[in-house]
Amino acid sequence: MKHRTFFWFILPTLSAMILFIALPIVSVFIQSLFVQHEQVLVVSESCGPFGCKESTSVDLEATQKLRDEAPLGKFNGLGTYTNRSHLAFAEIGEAWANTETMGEFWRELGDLPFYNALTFTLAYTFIVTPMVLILGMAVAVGVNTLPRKLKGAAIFVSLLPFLVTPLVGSLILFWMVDGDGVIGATIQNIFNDPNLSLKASTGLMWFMLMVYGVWHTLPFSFITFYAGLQTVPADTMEAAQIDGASKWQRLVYVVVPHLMPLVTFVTLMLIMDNLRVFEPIVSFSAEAHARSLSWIIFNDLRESGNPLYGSAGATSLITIFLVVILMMPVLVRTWRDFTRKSH
Amino acid sequence: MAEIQLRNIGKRWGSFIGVDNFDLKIADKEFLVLLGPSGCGKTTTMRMIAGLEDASEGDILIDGLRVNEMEPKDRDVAMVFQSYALYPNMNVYENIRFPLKVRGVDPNIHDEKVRRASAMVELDDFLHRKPAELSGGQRQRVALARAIVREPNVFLMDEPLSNLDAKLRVSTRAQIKNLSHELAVTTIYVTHDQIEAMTLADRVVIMKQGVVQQVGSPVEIYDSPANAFVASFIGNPAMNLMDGDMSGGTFRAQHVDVPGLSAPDGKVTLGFRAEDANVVEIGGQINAPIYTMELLGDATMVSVRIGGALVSVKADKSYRAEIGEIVSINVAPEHFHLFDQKSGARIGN
Repeated sequence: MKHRTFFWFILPTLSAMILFIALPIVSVFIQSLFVQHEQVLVVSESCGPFGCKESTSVDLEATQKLRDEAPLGKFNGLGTYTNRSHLAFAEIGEAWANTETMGEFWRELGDLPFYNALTFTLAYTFIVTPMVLILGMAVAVGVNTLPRKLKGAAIFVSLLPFLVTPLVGSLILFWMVDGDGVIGATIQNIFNDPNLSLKASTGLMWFMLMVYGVWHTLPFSFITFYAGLQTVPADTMEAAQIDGASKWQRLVYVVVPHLMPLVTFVTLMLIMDNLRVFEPIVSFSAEAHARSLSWIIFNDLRESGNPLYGSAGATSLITIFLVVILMMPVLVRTWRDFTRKSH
Repeated sequence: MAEIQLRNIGKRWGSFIGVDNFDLKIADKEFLVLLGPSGCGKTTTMRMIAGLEDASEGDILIDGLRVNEMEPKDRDVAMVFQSYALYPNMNVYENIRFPLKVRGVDPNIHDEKVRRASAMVELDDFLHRKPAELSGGQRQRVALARAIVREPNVFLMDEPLSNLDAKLRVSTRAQIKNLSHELAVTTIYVTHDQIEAMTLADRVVIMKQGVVQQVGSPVEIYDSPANAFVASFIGNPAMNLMDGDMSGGTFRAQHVDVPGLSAPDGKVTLGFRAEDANVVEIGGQINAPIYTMELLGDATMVSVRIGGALVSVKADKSYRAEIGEIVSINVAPEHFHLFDQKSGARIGN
């Protein structure tokens, strides 16, 4: 294709990408370099029969004027990125210097809000993503081997979690694990402890959030792999069968390699999706035990009366950077495949 | 090595009959070719032997052991597919090694076996390549090596040359023939190409609509076809077949008068092969206007129309005549074949 033709061909897509992806990111980046103006304070002295007294008040007019003159706020450079709420370089240095063991150091690190959220987000991503990939493949293979008559119903049932709105789905699970819910009450009965609560333990709360994550996103990987299974060459499968491969060996040596491009695609989608984990934390009211990067962005933005746009912007950009790093191996592999095929 | 017995096997899908009452004993080390047009049941028969299809009826025995209920991997057969069916993610070496690996053969002997198999099909220089980097012929040789490496009791080949171009087909065919001689393993080969059947087979089974039409050596099938279908399927060009009437030992049709035949009176089909006929000056049994002439290089193919059928004969390469000119064709009586016009069955010559 000629360069000129390619340019006109790609222009609508490119324009949409600039408008809806690049510009918002640039805008967020700019916002992250500024912090809210401090309020202008006025100290006034009032004297009476018992002496003089100083009082401090906010000069609303001057504050508003300042905000009107520079609506982005006060330029802070990369200060927001490095402050205690984000990368906290100073606090990390201090913790490194003052702690004796690695365990202590990690504990100090875990107390910092960004690293606390990062820990949960990464744990969620690296547990939920492989679980969804493996279980999705297992369900797809299982449904694929069902008799034709049962396949329709099995596919419908398998897709149900995907059809339920995330908020509703997570609320249902939340109610189920409540002391009065089916799961919660059963566990209390089994352990004969009426005070036992899944919600009271950080570990169990993480476990519950991850179970919900797997349950909710499993249909996506299942249906993608199921579609892919329909394209596995029958001859190759039969050749493997005659060569002596068991069902498991056929899955490992024939089916999975055939589905690798799909596995790459699903992995990319899941990593991106899981790094943005948010709804279940809100629905489960799990903020006390689990905070994700998305949740701290949300929290910054809902600071009553004084949203921390700069802070939210900085966390957003660090999250994007993290997504890029995590997806780099997959992106490099896709690029290599592309360049190899184009030669 | 193995003897295979197919005892009245059949395959049905509902009311559709894929293979009907196939009964045959295949001798140890024999090279048997299943030949027929698309949909005749030849591949289905092979797949039943491989265990990829269940036989609806009958017994399949390999070396006297009934294998109907056995998994394909337990039948000790190796199969070569038309589409090669290689593992695209593995290189040639790994493709050939795969049967050894999954069957748990001692890893210490893998390399020796793989290299021996690859040497037999002249693939030593391509072992590191992926199937996508090979030509069609090379891919089929990988499939052959993968079949050879395990030293199975039976080779099954499902139209292995169909995806190759004409030149490659000839050389790969020669390679298969040579391998078959060298390995001396019972081989069942499916094809719709009668030249492959004639050149490779010890015996040929010709099938039509799931029914075996004739079993015999290539020479038997060529010289004494059991019915008009076999006669028309084998040979290039196919046997000339003309419908006509037999009366008092003489066959008559438009432009045709052949005396001295031994068959009962009635409607018959007369056949002869192009190479058994001669173009003569005068007095041939067939005297008809030339429909077309084709120069083949070593001969000239002269065709006339008898009723609705095109009848072709091979004349000398120097023979020249105009289209529409009357040509006289003579065939020695022993080269005629007579078939019942209704059933197609052979009734004499």
